[in-house]
Amino acid sequence: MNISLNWIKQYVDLPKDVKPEELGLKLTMATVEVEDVENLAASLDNVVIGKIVKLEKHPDADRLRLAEVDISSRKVKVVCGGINLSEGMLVALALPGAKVRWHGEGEPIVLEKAKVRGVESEGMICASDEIGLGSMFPAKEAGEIVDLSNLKSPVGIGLAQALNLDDAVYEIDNKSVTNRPDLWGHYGLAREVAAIYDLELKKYPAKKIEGSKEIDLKVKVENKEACPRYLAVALSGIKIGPSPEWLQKRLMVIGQKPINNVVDVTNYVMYDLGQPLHAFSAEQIKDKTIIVRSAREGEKITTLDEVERVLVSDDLVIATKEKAVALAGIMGNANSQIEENSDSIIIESANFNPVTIRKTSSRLGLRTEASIRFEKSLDPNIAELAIQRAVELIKEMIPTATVVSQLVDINNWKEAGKNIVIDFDFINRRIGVDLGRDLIIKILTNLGFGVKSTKKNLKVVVPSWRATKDINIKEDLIEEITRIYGYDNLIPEMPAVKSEYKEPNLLRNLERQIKDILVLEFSSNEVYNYSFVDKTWLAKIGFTSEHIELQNPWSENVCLMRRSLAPNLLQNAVDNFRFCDEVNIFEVGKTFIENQSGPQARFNSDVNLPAQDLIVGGVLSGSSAEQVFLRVKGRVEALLDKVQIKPFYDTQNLAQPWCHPRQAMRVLAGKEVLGYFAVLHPELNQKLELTQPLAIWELNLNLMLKYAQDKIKYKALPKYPSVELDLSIIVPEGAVWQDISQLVQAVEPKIIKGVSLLDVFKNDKIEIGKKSVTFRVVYQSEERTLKMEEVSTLQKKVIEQLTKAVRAEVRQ
Amino acid sequence: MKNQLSKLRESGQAEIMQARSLNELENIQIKYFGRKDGVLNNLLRSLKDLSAEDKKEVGQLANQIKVELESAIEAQRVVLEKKAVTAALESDTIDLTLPAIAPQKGSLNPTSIVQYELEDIFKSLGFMVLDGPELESDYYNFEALNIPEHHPARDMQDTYYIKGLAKNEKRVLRTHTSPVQVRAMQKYGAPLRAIAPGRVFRYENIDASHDNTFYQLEGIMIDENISITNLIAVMKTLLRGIFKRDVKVRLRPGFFPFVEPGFELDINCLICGGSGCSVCKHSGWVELLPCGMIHPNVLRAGNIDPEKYSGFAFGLGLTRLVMMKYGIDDIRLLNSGDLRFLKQF
Repeated sequence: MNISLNWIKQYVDLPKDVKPEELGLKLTMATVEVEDVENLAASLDNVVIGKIVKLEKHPDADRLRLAEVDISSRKVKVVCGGINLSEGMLVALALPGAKVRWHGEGEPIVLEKAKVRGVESEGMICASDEIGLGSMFPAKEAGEIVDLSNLKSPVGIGLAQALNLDDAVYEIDNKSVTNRPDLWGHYGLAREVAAIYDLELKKYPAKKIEGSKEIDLKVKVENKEACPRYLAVALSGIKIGPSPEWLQKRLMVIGQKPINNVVDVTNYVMYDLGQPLHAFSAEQIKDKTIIVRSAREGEKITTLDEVERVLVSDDLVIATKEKAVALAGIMGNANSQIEENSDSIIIESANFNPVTIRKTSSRLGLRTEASIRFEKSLDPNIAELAIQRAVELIKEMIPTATVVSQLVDINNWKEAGKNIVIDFDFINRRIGVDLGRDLIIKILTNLGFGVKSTKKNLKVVVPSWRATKDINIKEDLIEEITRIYGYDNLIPEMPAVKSEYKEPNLLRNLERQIKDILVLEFSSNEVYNYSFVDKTWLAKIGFTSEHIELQNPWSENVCLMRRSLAPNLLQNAVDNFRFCDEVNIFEVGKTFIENQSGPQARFNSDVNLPAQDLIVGGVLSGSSAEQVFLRVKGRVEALLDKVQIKPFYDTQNLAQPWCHPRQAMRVLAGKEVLGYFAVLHPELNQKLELTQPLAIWELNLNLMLKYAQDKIKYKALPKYPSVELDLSIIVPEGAVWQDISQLVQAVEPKIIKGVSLLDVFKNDKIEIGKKSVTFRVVYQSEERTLKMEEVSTLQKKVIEQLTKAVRAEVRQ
Repeated sequence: MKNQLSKLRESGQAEIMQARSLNELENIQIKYFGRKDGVLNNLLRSLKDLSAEDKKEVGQLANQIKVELESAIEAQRVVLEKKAVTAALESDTIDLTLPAIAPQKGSLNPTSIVQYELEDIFKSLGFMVLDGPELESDYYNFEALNIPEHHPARDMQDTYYIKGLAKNEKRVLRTHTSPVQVRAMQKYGAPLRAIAPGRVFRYENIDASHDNTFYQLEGIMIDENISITNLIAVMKTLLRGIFKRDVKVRLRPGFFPFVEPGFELDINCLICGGSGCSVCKHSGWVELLPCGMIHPNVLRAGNIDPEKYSGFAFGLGLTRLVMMKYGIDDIRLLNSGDLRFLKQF
């Protein structure tokens, strides 16, 4: 939204020494975010009105021409590529020193004399957006320069002067005024300016409308809830034509294109008060009866932008008995717009329910200057001021215009008279400092609040323009007082608080510990992936489990919420192999499973959200399947060991389709599956064209936390020495280490304190179908020093056991 | 015999003095004192053929020579050892600039690094570190935060919705970390000091400066008589923790339905130091941190009495901070999984 400084000055006598930029900063600090201040006169320094007196071809360039431009004091030679140049034309000529934006883009640069294709050019004939006047003089096509021939100004004078542009324009961030219905027009902002500078705000110039009974204008509001107030009046003797220069300029400066006197007045009043108005051609209103009603389901209308729209019963229309003539509060219909020859018009100034307008406008994707204002909850009182002002202005500029009906005012709204009682003590405690009663009262009064004070408190009457939405409670008044006082004028003070024990977040602590282990001990790189997964990718890797779906995915395929980290991690691996030889990545993130075991949807509700457990998972590449498998096993065990979980494994077929069916293990604690680790399914290796084996693993951190322990107890150091004996055996290939080690241990658990694997191998000296296993057995007693004979006897027993159970032969 | 011994003494002394290396010296020692074939030992063995008197005399002489030679060897050893060290110092060269031998480096995502840094700052100020669901109910994401249905503020945060209802409850991907506010109040009551860093989602087009998934850090502090001046002081302290120096800040009005009054906290542009540049749109200030006094409706939703307690809340753009800290110019890298990027941290 653009705001003109001169327009504001209609309502506040600002001291002369207030600079436009300073006012912009004050508004930012107290009221709304001013994104840019454009000082029109300053930005047009060294841009003058020139008259093209001669045009010639450029000797070396087909598209360029040499123009001789008269600027009164002399004639200037300029090279120009404008497509609409003609002799006798008045143009905006930028002289050296002027600030221009090349082709209307980028930061402004300072113009200098230059040679263009070998010909000296002393200036530049400008397109409108090159000198920041794009909104005032929109170009119809690229390469068009501004034609100022309509301006009857002498050549050589400054453009700012010629256009009377001694104004500054504030660009205000619309988001910063979503809560302020009163700030969508200049008068409301003028009120803020007055309060900030402690100046008087002039009364709004509105006069009562003297009605007549020539036309019996009737309004029926059928849907009162959607239309709290509707005012209308008819005027005749209208002569449609251009509006006067001052009005055109007001609109142009804020970037609005003047259209004709009647439309310009309705627009002007909207930008003045924030109240949208609409003018109908009276001829199109049958029986001079306006009906405000809900649309019929499926009713079709064609709005002014010539789009046919299909309505639903939640929409509100302005209609005659026969047809709808406007989509209420959003846009008029083509069938009732005023024409060049319209003699009678009906002006509407209404208040519509913000939710109704908002619903319709978002459903139709039709947002207009009117709809964005109505959806902010406008003050119904302003509708009256607006129609008075509009009628006044039309009569002023069209002397033949007369009011030919009564002012119809269907008012289903009652001013509630909102009062707030607030203690001075409360104000001081919430702000943290005592600003003094007088200052508080002055600020509120300047903002239009009614204030009555007692010793202890204030009775504050909220003005109607703030009462519709944004001021309801005491805290709202705290804001009013403090922002005008200036937040930066407050002296910060640290709060005094009681010290107390704070419950640690165990899950977050675990997450952090685990990340540290993976990064520091396993040299793994942490990735972050989106919580979304692409359904075509899931199809490719064969993941068919049910996923939670987005209602409005940004792209058609990326529409599911991940239930495992693996799919995106696999994608990372594939992506990275384009640049890297190895992949060693992990991620910690939430997954989403629709089983309603997640957090409550409301306090004490029996509805639960999907489960959102925190998962850690990773992908690792390596030299062989066995190697990567054992490496991921190593990290899984290291992580579990951190929380002292002794896992057990099983080799049941896993649900995860990316796991190798025979090189995968589930990790269990109690009866619950904590996760898995596996070599990637060979089929997937092939499909993804991977050249090295990958292993993949996941663990559920919420479950890990459930089984986590902190129970390390010290054991006395051994008093007697141990004996370590190594043993190499040949066993059938199918014999697994877990069985071998358990068999050994079982021979004499009290004495055999450890069995550790040293080596497993196969070679051509070993029978096919067999393998060599070498391991070390630690013998140690807690009661005495073992004799060598005892150890030998036990070692023999070990060999016997292994021979019996796994057909082991001792390798010599 | 005596003669032989004297010769031995001379030859021994000479050889010892001439030994050029510890190895040679070792050999000399073996030559003279070796158990099997040591010259001195061999000689002493022939003592048994001498008379008792000669035995005594020659024996004494032999012992004397033995001691002499042994100490000569020791002395020479010291000399040679010193020489060897000097030589080693000169000859043993390594290329000191060869690459270090170290385990391969792992890395945390830069967001994790900054997040943990912030968590530690807040923990030191006595804040709890909390979590909340990323897939949230419409209730906690909007309603409980004073944003009813059809409120224009819903436009400020374009939302991803989940297909289908859970028994009439609409579900969304949380658009901010603020829902944790009400969940925390309900769980812990007042007084309360907590932060909740986490992932949030916005339904929007992705480009170098926008992503549909990014990180925020929510903070709240609730107690009796928490004031606006307290809020400003805590924010300044926090920023000193983040930037490790005092930063100039300014507070201006900002509208967020869940706070009243609401503020935008700007910091002096770190790129230009406040003189104006393209990063700060020539204003000298960068919007960093929306904050405000918690709206009484939100306190009520959290079962806290707004007459007795007041508090403030703030939302730090964690991702933005990460980008500022490391000079990352493309937000998409953070969620890319690209190792060329990740290994830099």
